[in-house]
Amino acid sequence: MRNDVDEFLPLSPASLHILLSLAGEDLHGYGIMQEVKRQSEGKYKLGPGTLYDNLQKLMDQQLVQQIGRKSGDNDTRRRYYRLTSLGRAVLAAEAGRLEGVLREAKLRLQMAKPRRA
Amino acid sequence: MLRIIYIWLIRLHPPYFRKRFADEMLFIFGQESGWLAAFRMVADGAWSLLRQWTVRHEFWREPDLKIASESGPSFRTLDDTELPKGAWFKGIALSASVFCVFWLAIVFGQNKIPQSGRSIVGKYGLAVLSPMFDPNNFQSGTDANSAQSADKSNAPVASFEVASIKPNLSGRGGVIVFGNINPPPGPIDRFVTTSTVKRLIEDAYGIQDSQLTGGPSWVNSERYDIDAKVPDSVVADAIARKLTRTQQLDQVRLMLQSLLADRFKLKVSHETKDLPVYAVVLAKGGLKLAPVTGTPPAMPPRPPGEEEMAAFGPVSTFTSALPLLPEVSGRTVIDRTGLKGDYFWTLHWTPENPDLRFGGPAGAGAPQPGSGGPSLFTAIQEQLGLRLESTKGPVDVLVIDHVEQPTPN
Repeated sequence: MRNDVDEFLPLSPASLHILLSLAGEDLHGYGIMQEVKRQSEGKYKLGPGTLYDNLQKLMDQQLVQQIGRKSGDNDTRRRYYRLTSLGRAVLAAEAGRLEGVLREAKLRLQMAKPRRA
Repeated sequence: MLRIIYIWLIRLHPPYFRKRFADEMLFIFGQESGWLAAFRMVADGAWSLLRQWTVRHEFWREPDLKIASESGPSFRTLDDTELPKGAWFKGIALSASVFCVFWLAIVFGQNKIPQSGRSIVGKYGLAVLSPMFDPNNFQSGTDANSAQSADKSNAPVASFEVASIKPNLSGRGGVIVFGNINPPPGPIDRFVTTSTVKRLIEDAYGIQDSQLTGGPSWVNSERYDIDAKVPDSVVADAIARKLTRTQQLDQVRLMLQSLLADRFKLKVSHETKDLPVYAVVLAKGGLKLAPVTGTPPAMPPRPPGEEEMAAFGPVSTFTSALPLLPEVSGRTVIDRTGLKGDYFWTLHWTPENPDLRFGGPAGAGAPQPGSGGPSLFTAIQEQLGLRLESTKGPVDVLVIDHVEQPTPN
């Protein structure tokens, strides 16, 4: 297992949203799509093909793990996914990286503002 | 229509991806309503299809199970994928086939297993001496040509269900009865005897008197009443598998070994000694034994003053019974006849000394010396078509290393 979280950065938008949606609770695929939609206020829509392609990659990287079904959910087609401790660390590192990007962006944008004479 | 296209798009994905996610993707497709949403999903599915076959080649096939380099168990978690219905039928058919193969192997192979190392154990019979003999009651006794062959591991594998052991102070007894006294093929369900420990050991290990040494003096003098029950499961198994009496006796002897080890704390070891032996060989007049056909032959009345032997089984039945007779003086008797199969062993002879007859001193009705009948050696030749040849040979001897008096129960 790779422990250096920097190796995973930067995350693609889809991966970031998936990890973020799983940070709160275990979700099934459709639940992840709904959560991503909610987080982005409907601006980022994840299709099933993109979702599972990214989930496959994230599971291979051991950032997410499949946990089968949840008790009380009788739908056999739904499988739940959980953020691993590595996934949580990577998400935190990505958030920190984005924070730096955001800070830098704000700084640059402030500097670019036209000054009144 | 869009759903059908979407299903086909999913089917065209690499097998491993399809196996993992197809159900969920279809589930999600069913959750969305409206043709626009469906169209977006079809477009997403097409893009996914292209991506999976072009840049995701590492996921085309299911990864091989990786075994950790470190020693120790490894585990693999299986997906909780619901099996297709056809898999159940295939699984049932495969299981039934495997079961049938094993069942046939057991049923038709059980008599073809080589018995090396245990060739003596399991071929027993008992000589029952007059006047106690009832021709309808064939009982079992000891076999003994090799102490080593009877027990190599000193580790019995079976036990009686329950066993009562009490000191016998009457001074009577001597005949060991394995199992019930019904004629064969009655199942052996009990082991009853009044016997010395020495005799018990001889029977348990299938050896003769001369093959047992060591131990305190009481093993040859103190008698015990033993009544042991063969487990019902063993009896039922013997009936179900149609075990021969010889095979059942084999099991009972192992239980007796277990009983001796458990209650008498018996420990034994083996030695080889060069001792005088008798060899049973074919006589010139030809064999006069009747093969066992399921029904014991009619027993002619015992002539007055003569001893009588009756048993059934292989040659070892006879060779194991002979050392009990005073005429043979406890010598080991070995089989050099080359005979296979089971025979009825019926014999009349005039004992050399009736006072030394098996079972204790002679009483009323005991044979009298000098009644005019043949000696044992002559009778064997005339009535069985066999001959006892005196010779010497290496004999496996069992040594009693440790034995304790049991606690009566």
